[in-house]
Amino acid sequence: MSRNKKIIKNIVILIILFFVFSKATGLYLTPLSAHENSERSIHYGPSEVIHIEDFDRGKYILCKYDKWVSCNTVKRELFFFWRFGSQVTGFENDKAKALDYTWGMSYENYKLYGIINDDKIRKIQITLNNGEVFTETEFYEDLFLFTWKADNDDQSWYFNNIKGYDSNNNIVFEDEY
Amino acid sequence: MPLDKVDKFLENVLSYIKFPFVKDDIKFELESHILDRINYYMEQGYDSEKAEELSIKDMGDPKEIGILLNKQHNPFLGWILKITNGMVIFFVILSIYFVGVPLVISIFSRNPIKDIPKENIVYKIDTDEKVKIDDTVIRFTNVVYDKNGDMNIFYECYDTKFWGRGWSSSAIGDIMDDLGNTYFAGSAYSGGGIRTKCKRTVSDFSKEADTLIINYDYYNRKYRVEIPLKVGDTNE
Repeated sequence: MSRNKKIIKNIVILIILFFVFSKATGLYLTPLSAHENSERSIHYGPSEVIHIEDFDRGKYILCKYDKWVSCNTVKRELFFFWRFGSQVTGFENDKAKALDYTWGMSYENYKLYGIINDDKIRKIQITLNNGEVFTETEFYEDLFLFTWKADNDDQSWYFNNIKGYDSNNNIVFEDEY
Repeated sequence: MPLDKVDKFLENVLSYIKFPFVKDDIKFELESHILDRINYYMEQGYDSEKAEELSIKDMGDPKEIGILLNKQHNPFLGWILKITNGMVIFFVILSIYFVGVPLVISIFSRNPIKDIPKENIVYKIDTDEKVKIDDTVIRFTNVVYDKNGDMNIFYECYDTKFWGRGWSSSAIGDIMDDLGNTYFAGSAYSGGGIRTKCKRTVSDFSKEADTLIINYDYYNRKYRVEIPLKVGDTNE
């Protein structure tokens, strides 16, 4: 067999083995592919991706699926691969609330995300236990996402309260953890 | 017999070969050819020195031969072949580890039904209910009610596609009975591997129940399996 034929044979074998390897190890070539497969593997979605945001371990993917809102994470692995993260499924939106939200953490990475049900809301402000305040006035359609990173694992980095304001800066929604 | 001229000739030819992994093969081939020629000339009556000289002369210009052979053994293709050979071996080993090991685990994993001593079994029902959610197939094989009041549900699950890790094999749905009870407390076991043998146990299952209901209704996926409990071989 000529060297050209041997090389072609090797490349075909490598493509097949790479496919098997990536599937067996749960590694994907793109973050969206990892996200879509993570949803299907856990029997959720397919959701509509509304916003993607980077963090140091990978990406947050803010999504809507039917009555649920989710913020999946996918993680970067082995330089250029992507793997399932955590918190694939979402919370069920309670439309009776002016806004609905949830928050969580993975290691030192915190996130709070939700959906605005009352379109009077123009600004959302969250406060952490340590008094740090984050504000958002631009949303992703009707979804929002706050992310922050803790320096240590004490509870001062926990979310404390959330407020939704209308255009006149009146509080429309308020909730505490 | 010292063959200084042959060695020098071969060295000269090989200096034009850029791909190091073919040098030994080329040297062996050329050397064999020259030795054949030397033998030929010696049979014709030439002494060894003259035979060597004539044989090398027959071979031609070492520079020309070297350039030609280097062209034939293109170093770029040579390296590509070498690298892809190595990668094939690497990925074969990885595939054996990541696919072969789970496969072996699937074949040899213990059946959790054997964990329940026969004397503890109140009744055992064989069933063959198969459901599918997305790409996951769940096949319920047996239910065993034991003397502790535990209802043990045995099933196998596997994916029709490799999606990687994600779905928890204990998430088969809500366990209920025909009397309207829903059971939460209990435990789960999963054997691992590609075709996983699993057990889900719920505690304090009602003795009066006639039907075990496994109801899955999450994120727009639904199935409902009803297993009659009065047809087991030891059920009264």
